[in-house]
Amino acid sequence: MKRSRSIELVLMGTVPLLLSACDNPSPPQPQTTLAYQGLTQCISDGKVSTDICEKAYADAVQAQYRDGPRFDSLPECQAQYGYDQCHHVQTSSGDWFMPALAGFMIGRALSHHDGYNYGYGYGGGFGQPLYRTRGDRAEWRTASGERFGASARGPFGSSVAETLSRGGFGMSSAARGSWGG
Amino acid sequence: MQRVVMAERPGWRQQAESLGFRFHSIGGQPYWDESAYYQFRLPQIESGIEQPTQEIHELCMDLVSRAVRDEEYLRRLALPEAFWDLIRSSWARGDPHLYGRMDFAYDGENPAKLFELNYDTPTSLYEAAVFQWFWLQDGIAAGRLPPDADQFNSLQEKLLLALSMLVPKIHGRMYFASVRESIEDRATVEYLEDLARQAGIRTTYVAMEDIGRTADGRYTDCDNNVIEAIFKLYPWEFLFADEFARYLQSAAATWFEPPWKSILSNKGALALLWELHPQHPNLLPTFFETKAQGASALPAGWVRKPLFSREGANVELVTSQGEHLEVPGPYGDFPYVRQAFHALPRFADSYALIGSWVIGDQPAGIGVREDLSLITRDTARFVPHVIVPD
Repeated sequence: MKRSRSIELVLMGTVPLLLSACDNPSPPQPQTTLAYQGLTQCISDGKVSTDICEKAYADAVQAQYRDGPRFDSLPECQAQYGYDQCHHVQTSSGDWFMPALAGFMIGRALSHHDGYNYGYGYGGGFGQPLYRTRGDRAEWRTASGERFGASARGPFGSSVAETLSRGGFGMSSAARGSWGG
Repeated sequence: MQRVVMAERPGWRQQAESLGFRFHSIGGQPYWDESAYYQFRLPQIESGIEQPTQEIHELCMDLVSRAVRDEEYLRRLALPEAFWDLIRSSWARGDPHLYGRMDFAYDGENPAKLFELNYDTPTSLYEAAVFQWFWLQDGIAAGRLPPDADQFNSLQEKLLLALSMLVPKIHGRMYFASVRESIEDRATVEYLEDLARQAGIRTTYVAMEDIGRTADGRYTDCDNNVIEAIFKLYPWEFLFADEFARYLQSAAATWFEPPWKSILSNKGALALLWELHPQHPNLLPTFFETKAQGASALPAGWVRKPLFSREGANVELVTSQGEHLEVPGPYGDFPYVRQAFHALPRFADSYALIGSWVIGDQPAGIGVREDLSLITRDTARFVPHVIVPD
């Protein structure tokens, strides 16, 4: 066969194409949301105390069972989250298949006094689970499946530096008008 | 090779919208045209197109390796001297490349002839890789095409593979950039961004015009994050001419396509290929135009193209019969090459040009574009193709 066996798209057609510009940024998630792959990363990042990291992580682990994705069968779970990412859970309230935790986020409310407000924000706890889907391993999803990673601060951030000026690229194109290949 | 008329799928426009194919019609005119398709036999694809594509690609890589060792090549290609080091070091480091497209005249019988290389900013990628593929699947499912019909199109598979290989090299994220106004460019970039995510690379879009620079000469995005890896659908010769080009060295970003691609996206490369491999069955005689030639009229049987030009702009042509054709454009200030005239094959009232893709270093598929003129312009229509068994 001379053609691709299957074709999937994870971005195209799913989100409206916004013409981006620095002066009209799309509204991001609250700046105070932090996200980490694991407890160690949270602690070593040092943005919040070890205590906060541990509480948030414990919250996220608990919240998986309450808010996380549930599947009746292993293949259904694998289809969405990948082959080695799903496991069976049994609780007093039933059994199901669920994806592994890929990370956790720390709630949105920052108080003036003592770091993150415990119990404020995401329905009780302030740590929430994050997942990675099979088709888009580069970006986190929340328990409800919403994209999260694009605005996640913390582990993947590149270095930040002061920008002196913009607009130094693109003039040649403007001068020549339409082009392409 | 045949052109077969077939009815359009009634719902293709909705399918196009749902798959993010926003430029299926341009200015009210169809760009995606499924009122017909091109039918090939497997040997026509494998011996007629795939094998020459592989061979010419290797000649191209050989040309780059010569050009980075010999300043005379870079001078003849009119590449600005200030960026020779950037070009040479990107090749010496082995900066990876993703993709390129060769444009061939091919009639199914005679050797395919290389018209152009689009090795820096090729477009028409999404329609070849994705929408053409869905058209084939739908045609087979509906019984309108034979169940064993195939297509020379492993573009998405090979792109995913090429992007997966980048994962260990990309620290942080990979930016995807195009000029802000062009919806077609934006869609091509969005498609590659989509595939990068599937491969596990974190991505962010930034308009070329929004890129910033820091005091120590690095590039930044809108949130002042330093840009370390960036795919740009923006030609190197434009980049070189822009104000921020002076920070290319200090920024030390990894660019896709890499700076060494500027050697191949230049029509002078066609003249150099001919000089190195005269009489190659898939190359057309091509020469740098001398000053005296530039001042005189183009003789019959020749085409004149600026070193940097796109979508047929500034191309002038006199057929063997003396018919004169010319497309105006903004590139007239560059040196020219002259290429022997070779007529595109005509099917019904259209001339067909075959875009043959190279992903990583492998032939990966084709897209056929038709135009009513012998010079394929931005008004060309993209027509799908099938391979049928013998």
